[in-house]
Amino acid sequence: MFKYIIKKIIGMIPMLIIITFLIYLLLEMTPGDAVSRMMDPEAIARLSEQELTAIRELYGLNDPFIIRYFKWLFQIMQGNFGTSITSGVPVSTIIGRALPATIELAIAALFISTFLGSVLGVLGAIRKGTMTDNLLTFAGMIGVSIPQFFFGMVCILIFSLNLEWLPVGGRTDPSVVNFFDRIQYLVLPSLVLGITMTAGVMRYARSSMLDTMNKEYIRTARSKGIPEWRVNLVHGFRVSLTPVIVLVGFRLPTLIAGSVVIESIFQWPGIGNTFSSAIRASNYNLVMMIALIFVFMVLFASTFVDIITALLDPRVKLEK
Amino acid sequence: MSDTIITVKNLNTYFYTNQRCNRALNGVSLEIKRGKTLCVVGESGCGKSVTASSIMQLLPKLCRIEQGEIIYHSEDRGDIAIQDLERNGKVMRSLRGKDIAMIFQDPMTALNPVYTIGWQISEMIRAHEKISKKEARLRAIDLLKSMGIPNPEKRVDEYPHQFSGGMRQRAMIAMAMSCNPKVLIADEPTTALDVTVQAQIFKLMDELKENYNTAIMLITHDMGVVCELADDVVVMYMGNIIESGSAQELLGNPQHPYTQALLKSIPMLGKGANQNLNPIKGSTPDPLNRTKGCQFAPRCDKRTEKCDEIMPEEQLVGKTHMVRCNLFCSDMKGVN
Amino acid sequence: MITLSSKKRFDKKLDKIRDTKISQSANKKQSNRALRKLLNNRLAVIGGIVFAIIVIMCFFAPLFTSYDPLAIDMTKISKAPSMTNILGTDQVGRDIFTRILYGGRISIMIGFGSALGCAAVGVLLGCYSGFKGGLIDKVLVRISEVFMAFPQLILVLMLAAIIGRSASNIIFIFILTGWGSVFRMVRSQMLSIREEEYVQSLKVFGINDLIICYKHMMPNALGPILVNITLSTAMFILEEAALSYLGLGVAPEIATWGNILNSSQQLHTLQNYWWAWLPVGITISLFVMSINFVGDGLRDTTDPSQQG
Repeated sequence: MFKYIIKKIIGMIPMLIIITFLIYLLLEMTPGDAVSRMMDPEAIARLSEQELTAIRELYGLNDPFIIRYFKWLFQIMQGNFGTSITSGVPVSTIIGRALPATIELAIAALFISTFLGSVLGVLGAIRKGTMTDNLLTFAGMIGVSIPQFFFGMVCILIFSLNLEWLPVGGRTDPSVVNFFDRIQYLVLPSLVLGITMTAGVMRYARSSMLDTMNKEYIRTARSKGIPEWRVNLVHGFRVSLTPVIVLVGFRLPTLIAGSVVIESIFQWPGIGNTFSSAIRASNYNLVMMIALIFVFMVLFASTFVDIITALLDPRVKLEK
Repeated sequence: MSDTIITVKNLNTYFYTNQRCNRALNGVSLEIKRGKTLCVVGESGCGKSVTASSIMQLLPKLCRIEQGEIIYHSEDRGDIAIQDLERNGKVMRSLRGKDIAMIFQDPMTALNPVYTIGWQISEMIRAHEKISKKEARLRAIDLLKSMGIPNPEKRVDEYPHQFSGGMRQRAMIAMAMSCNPKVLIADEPTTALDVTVQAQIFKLMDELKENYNTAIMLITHDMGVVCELADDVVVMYMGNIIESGSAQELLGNPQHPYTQALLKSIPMLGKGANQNLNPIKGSTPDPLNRTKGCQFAPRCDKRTEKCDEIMPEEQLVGKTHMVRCNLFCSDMKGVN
Repeated sequence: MITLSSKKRFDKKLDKIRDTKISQSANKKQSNRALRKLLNNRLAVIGGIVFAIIVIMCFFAPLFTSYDPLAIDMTKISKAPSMTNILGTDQVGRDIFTRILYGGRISIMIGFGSALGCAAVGVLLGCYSGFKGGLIDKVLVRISEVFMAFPQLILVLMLAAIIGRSASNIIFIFILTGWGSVFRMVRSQMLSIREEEYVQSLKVFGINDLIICYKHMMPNALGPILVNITLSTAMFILEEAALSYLGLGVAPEIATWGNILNSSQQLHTLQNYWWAWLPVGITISLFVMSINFVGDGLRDTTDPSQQG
């Protein structure tokens, strides 16, 4: 088992190198001076032409591309992500400030979508072919077809503007300190993100459950004379739930893409919002670093899922 | 108390998949007797398993018993008409496992992979008896021991994938026997197993019959098994019973051309590789597109014009020996 | 009581099948099974009709409206729906109904074009990769893995910012980021087809690899691709809308569904001028939903394990 984990982690390394290389390539392609990505713009303004050339020499900006890439990679590994060209704040500080809000939103949305999706999906599978199932399938179809931001707009209009139950934005308000004050800001965005993700989970859970209910051991369970709810829940649900839960890791890309959109609508001070405003401001260093972090998260999550699956199910072949 | 424990009379079971109606069983009648083994033989798709599933009411959703009756003659509750019971209702569930237990074909897939063997056996016991988890676990260990599983105290907490195929089938039988059922239905219990393991499993089942007076309905397509274990035999073809009787009468003197062909197609051990096998010509017909008369007629050596027209009635040719073939219908006797 | 009646209904349904089977067995003329199955799927048929209506209205937009989608009319800013402007006007007085129709042209073109492009690239590379194996296969798989490691919207946003935001660039970016999944699907199909006997015998006959690959094997891998094209059209339309909504899609003055929504981002518009955003949102949802229903119907007909 230990060997398997090590192997998986080592297997990620070439992928990471390719991706960092690609991102560096994109970064080089963007307009702007490399010095400006590393230093505070005000500091640059104070420098003379000679000093700038000296700095270029010092940082090796005249080196060949490949060498510059490795130098950059080395900086990244040391935790130096450079600075934001618009504010001069180090990128790591900006990300560090925005990350908690995004994680808060993501966890809430994941929880909502996993819970609702698996319960509704299994319900649909048990009642396959009935009115309940058809309604759920139809609702799920609406769920995957409505643009997330449109759904968000409708929710804002109804719950914030007309009913005035929940605030729209303002999570950044300094008076909002404790958790319970914050929760009211979290409700609407996490529900919108969670519900739009529910449809996918529901579909997956339904087919997983249908698959399980066709298995032979379900017939064995029935042949024991145990009640039908026990057959469904203890034998069917339990078995079909494992892949649904494990797949949380694979939903991370959807979640990230969703958070960019949702954070923008609800003015949520998270990474997604930072990302889209950085793009609008052509703040490329920040854009690339956030993208790098997103890709890292996705890669680590999928490796993590592989490992968890192997741990949960001893039948998974360890040697591939 | 009569000898018979389950009577099946004129059973018709139809499947409705893909918007079409497949008449899987067309009037099957048989009797399962206490302490006896009834073997049901026939090719794949002839309706053996459907008969078993009908008795247990374990049919798929798009499938139903159209007509006929299945009567369970219980000791304490009188006759119970199974076909009228609600599929997963309370009465049916009280019969399943407690009175009629079933063993499935493939022990690899018939056990739930995420629960331990002991848990799965205990679940069965606790579904029918009010005992604590601890007692149920002890019962499970005893059962595994009696099925010849070594080191049962440890094995009881293991998962199905840690068992070998033969062991899993033993565990399956242990589970089926856990509530001392009156009837054990075994649906090709050894098809997925090695030949050596097969013999052990059958010996186990024979012992159960002797020791507990359990009635066994054994579904198989292995004529060798039939010769060894059966007290009574039923031969099925395309949803009909075409020949039935005591093992002695039927195997000693098979009358239906299909049974004869079936017995001829078995290779004999010791005769070598050059022995003359007689496979039955043709293949199983499409069940959705049945012929009008005798179902076996298109593949039969002795078919007559009448065979294409009429499905023959049941004819008694011995004390218990019944055959459905036009060769034996009264007005056809001359032809024979 | 309810369960009893539903059980009776179920029984009746089965009775009907049994009885029709008897009468039909005589004239057993089987029409195209897949087509019949698709037409039996009511939602797929409705989806197809809605899809057709929206497409026709968008592409023959001048027949349905006399306004110019770009014409600014300062005399009627943010007017509510009326007889002259069916769905009202926006902040600069453009007719919204007209903008939805003309916007549909570009949105549908982007969605459909990208899906077709992805399929073309994915099928071409996937067939070859799955058939040939070897180094090319390994390299292509790695490249697709890299593209799939990026959350698609993130990569799209980055590229759109770097290479510019014209409609053709957007299609290019969608293809670049989306071909991976088609590629993988086709490749795995080809891997299993490759083992089939007819391929082996073609090889023995010494037929050119490219002919075996693209003429004999590819058609057998296309069924799921058709489903994929429909479903990814829906996905790309949603993505284009999200992109434009964030203000990072096609230039804002050009009418696309996402751009129309983008112009009503302010809470003020959201609350007071419902006609500026609700009809577009509904149109997008309806259109995407209709494609999804058709795609689902298609999937059911091509999937033999579906019964019922």
